[in-house]
Amino acid sequence: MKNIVCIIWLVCCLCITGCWDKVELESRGFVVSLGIDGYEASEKEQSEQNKNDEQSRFNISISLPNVTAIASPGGGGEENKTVKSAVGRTVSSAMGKIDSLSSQKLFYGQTRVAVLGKDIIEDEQLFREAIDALQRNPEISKKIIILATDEKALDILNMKPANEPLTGIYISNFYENTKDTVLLLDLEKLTERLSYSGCAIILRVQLENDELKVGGAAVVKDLRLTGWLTEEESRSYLWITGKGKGMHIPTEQDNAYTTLKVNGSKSKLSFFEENEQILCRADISIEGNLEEYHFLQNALDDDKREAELSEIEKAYEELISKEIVNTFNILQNEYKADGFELSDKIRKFNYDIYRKYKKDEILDKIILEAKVTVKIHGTGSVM
Amino acid sequence: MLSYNDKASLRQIQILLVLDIFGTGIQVLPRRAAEYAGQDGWIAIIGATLLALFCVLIMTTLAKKFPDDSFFSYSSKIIGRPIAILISAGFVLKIFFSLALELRLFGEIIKEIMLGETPYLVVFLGITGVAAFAASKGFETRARMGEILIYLVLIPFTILIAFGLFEVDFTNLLPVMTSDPQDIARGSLWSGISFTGLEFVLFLYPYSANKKDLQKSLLHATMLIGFLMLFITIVALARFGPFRILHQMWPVLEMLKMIRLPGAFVERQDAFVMTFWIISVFSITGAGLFFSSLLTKDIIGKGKPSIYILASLPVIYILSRFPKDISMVYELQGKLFITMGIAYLFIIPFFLLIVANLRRLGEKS
Repeated sequence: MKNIVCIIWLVCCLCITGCWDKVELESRGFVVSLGIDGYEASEKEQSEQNKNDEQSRFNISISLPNVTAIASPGGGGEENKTVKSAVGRTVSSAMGKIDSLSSQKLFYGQTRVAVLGKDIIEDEQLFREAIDALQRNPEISKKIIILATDEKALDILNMKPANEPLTGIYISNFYENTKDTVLLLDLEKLTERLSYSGCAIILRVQLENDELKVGGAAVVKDLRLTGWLTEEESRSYLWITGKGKGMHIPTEQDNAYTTLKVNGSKSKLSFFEENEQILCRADISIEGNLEEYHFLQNALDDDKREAELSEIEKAYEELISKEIVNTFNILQNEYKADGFELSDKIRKFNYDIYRKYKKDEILDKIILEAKVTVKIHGTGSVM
Repeated sequence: MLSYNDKASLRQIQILLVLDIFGTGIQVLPRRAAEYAGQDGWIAIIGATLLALFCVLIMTTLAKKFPDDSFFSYSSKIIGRPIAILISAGFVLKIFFSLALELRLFGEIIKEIMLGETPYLVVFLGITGVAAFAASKGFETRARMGEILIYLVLIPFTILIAFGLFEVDFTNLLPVMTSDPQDIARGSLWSGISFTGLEFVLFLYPYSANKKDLQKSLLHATMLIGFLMLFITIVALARFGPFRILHQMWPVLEMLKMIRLPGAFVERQDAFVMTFWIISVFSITGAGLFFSSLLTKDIIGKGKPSIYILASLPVIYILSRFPKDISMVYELQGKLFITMGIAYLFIIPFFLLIVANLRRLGEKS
């Protein structure tokens, strides 16, 4: 009897093994990058939509790797990736439609990049919905890189970077290798900033001469685009947050150009109240190496050399300090956006000042003063 | 090692208490604390731990007056059998409701994270079937199992959270002590939901091999739980900040998902985390089924606990299907805590203790 019971138990165990939700690897489509655009139907499409009683608002595109082409030498004449897109009234419904276009079950757990098209960042409602859909989706990692473009996200996904198999992997690798020299903004940080102040600076991606160019930033205020920052302007954010390691800064000195390679930077923000204004002092210290100067014109004499270096340091101090204040002025006066997150820092470190003002008033009250110290520690292989 | 006398050592009882409390409540604790006290949420957890210690003190002071009696037995001695039946029946209901909500939450999270297509009933039967079998084997079996499970739950969980420390921004905890003290107090009270399971202290005395030191041991175990909760809350608050944490359904799970493990070849550690959590829910379910069956047996006065365990499963399943969605589960958990939870953690034990003292019943401390 015991043996029979034992056998029944074992058979039961065998029956309950396995997985209800299994998906074979080859049946899974790994979405590497995701593009979100707004959608406006043409007249013909509109009349067709009216029949279906659905008005599409989003155009979602995804990029899937073509594993066979990537793995085989020369790619066997096939494209490295497949870009699919579908329109829908919501982000999720469009994603669902793409799923039905594919023979594979789409999986967003490996998605590296989400590109927000111009129509999305310019429209508060669409932007809210897009970010909400991304953060609600349990498959999508909160670590995916968020990029903004003033073009169509679909065009960015369709772009094939030279010697790179996929746009998403290219951007993600680019980010990994240069994370201290570009604005790092993943979904987690974006939602954190938006939930506190509704402001964020999102890294920009553009198409330039059949290549992808990552640099500059979109400034988002009250959950919609208020303007763009150039590459140099967006660099100020890195100085304020104590980043920038690995960055190359060229400047003109004595009718020649020099380049400083940043080895490290530190930033300390202090806030004081003066005449109903909040004085923000940013003490930024930067260390680096001089990578370039003019050939055969460097002083060999130690004293002269030191004086020369000191002048170069001063030139950099002035340049960076101006750059920071200039960017802050653009953010404060033109875009009215707290891109440097100064009000949050005042809340954390000077709560007494913070509680005296309304949250919306704080940005207008701030006067930023940047005190930059640059130390050049090395001049490469020559004196 | 003690064997087959249904008694457990102090260490085993401490472990069981930790496992019985370390459940779904932990997943939402940082959000609950931040809802009331913002970045000072961690202070609310200290407050909640102090409240929990006070409740344990009351419950153990009462239970140690009747060290060999079950809850039903000593409450019958104190307030008479009819009222004891009412209180015990209420206790059984409270355990059923708690288990139902816990299991529903567990099923929802499993569905969301791991097994999207698996029916809830299968998940429910999977976990309750094993837990019911373990519970039917008695307290000693649970105690021995706890000794193994604690290493599988707490240690990896704590290590994983510790990895999270590398990616947190502790300035998110600033400014300190700026929240309204009333809000912190409210946060402390509501964070008490995470201590659901502490009321099982009322049942533990008859199973202890060392009744003399049990009170101290249980207080130590509660302090350990409080410390773990504080640690988790601080890390989660520092990770998400007091604003974003409010939008997180399961902040702790979300935080663990985002931790980058060294080596980085494991990308979906949430599945890894679920393993610890499945064990912990198994332990909580086992405890609930075990104690509710004992109470039912005492109330009815005959039958085997294993029959009552089996009979309780469909009831718990039906109760667990009642909430429409997760928000309703949280809402009901709150209502259950503020009514029956506080009643069985503090009001009833305190009332019984006062009556026992007035009537000079039980052993002197």
